[in-house]
Amino acid sequence: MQVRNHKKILWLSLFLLACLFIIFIGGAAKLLIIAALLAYILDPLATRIESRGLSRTSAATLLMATLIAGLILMLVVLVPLLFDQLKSLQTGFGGEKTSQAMERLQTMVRSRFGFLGLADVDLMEKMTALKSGLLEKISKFLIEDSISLIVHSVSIPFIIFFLLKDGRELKKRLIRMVPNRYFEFSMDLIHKMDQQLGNYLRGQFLDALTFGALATIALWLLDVKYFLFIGVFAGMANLIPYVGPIAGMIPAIVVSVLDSGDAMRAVYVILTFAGLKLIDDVFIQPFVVAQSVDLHPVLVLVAIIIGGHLFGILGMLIAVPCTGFFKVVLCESLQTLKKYRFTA
Amino acid sequence: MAAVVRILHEREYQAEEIIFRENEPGMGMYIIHTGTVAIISESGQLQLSELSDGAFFGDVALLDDAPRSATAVAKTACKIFGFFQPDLFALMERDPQLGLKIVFRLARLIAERLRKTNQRVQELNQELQKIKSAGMTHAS
Repeated sequence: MQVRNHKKILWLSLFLLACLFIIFIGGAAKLLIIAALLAYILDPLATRIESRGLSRTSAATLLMATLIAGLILMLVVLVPLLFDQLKSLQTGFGGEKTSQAMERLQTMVRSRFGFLGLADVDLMEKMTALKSGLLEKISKFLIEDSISLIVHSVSIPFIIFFLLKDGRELKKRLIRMVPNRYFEFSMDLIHKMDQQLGNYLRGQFLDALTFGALATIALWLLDVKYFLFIGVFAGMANLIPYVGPIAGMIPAIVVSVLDSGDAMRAVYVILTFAGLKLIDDVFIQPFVVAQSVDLHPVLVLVAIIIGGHLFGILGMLIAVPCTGFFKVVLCESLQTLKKYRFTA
Repeated sequence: MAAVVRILHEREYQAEEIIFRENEPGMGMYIIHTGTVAIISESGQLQLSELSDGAFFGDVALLDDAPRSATAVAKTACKIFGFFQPDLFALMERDPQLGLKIVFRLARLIAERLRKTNQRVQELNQELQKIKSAGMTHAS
């Protein structure tokens, strides 16, 4: 009996090691993590469709077909708009107001920060270099990464579909590998984690979506250029506690001031973002983020650095939900473990 | 029926292997496919019952969150099916009609068991009264 259990523990450890290996192989892991997070968020919707009398396969197919159709529709509407904004980014900031604002800023920097070696700084030249660098990076991303972009846009929905369709069976097979003595414990743990993580991830997703939509509308009303880019970025950045809301606000301030040449615009943007954060904290978060997972600021920072190091900007965005996931797993494991007498 | 079978967990236990322990959280019930299982009260140090093919145990854990009231140990090599609360709740969400049927069947089983327990308590009460009255007669 002991040998049998040890064998099972060994197999389980090997499985976990394989998972860790997958996590550290890079690109494929990024795909898997994104697909798994999205499948987790979408699972209750598939269950809701299933409760109308459809099979799980039909429910997953219907959900994915609806999502893909929605995504295509969004691309048809948004891509031309995004290209328009990209084009204006290339020609933008060349107006008289921008030049005046830059000149004022340049005079101020030269006079006040000359001692730092900035006495002859040419801000317009630096701005042009920054803009062309940014555009070069965007074009490089679109051209060089177009193949991986296509692969991702096909493989992510594909993985999501199979996780939605066979997720329950996969979970059952995973539980089958657990030794008898730890069987009920693992069931208990998985159930609790499922509840906590489901609430947390769905809440984060809904919060980012709502914040992004509100920021886009607010920036459009404020007549801020590239409102769509900045709004979407602000929504995604809102996933990151502490630094996220500020990171979303900075591009809006820069674009708004440079475009209008009016420093007061920065105040309007700051007030708008403060208002949005207030709405988020008072109205959105209490409703959508049912279960908050408190993460220490240092832990958040470390997670963002590791996420960025492993998977770039996307890694930084998914770092916090992933850390929340591991925190829930660890806390629930320890709490559930206390209720069982494994030493006996 | 296939929907219920899909959520069952098949487990195999060796003789003397513990299935669940008294006072640990209960996640659901077990149905014995083959083999014999002993239900033991660890606190009372006695065997409460011995169950075999087709019998089930731990069913109350499907409906409440109280800890296990006894320990279940495999007396022989067993093949059993586990049916757990989270899976039952998920099934009720997906197929409320089927979920209702299962819960109703469970309620009937528990009601039947309660009736038998009441009857047994009554019998024991009567026996106790008899012993008491016999003792009083003997004393007088």
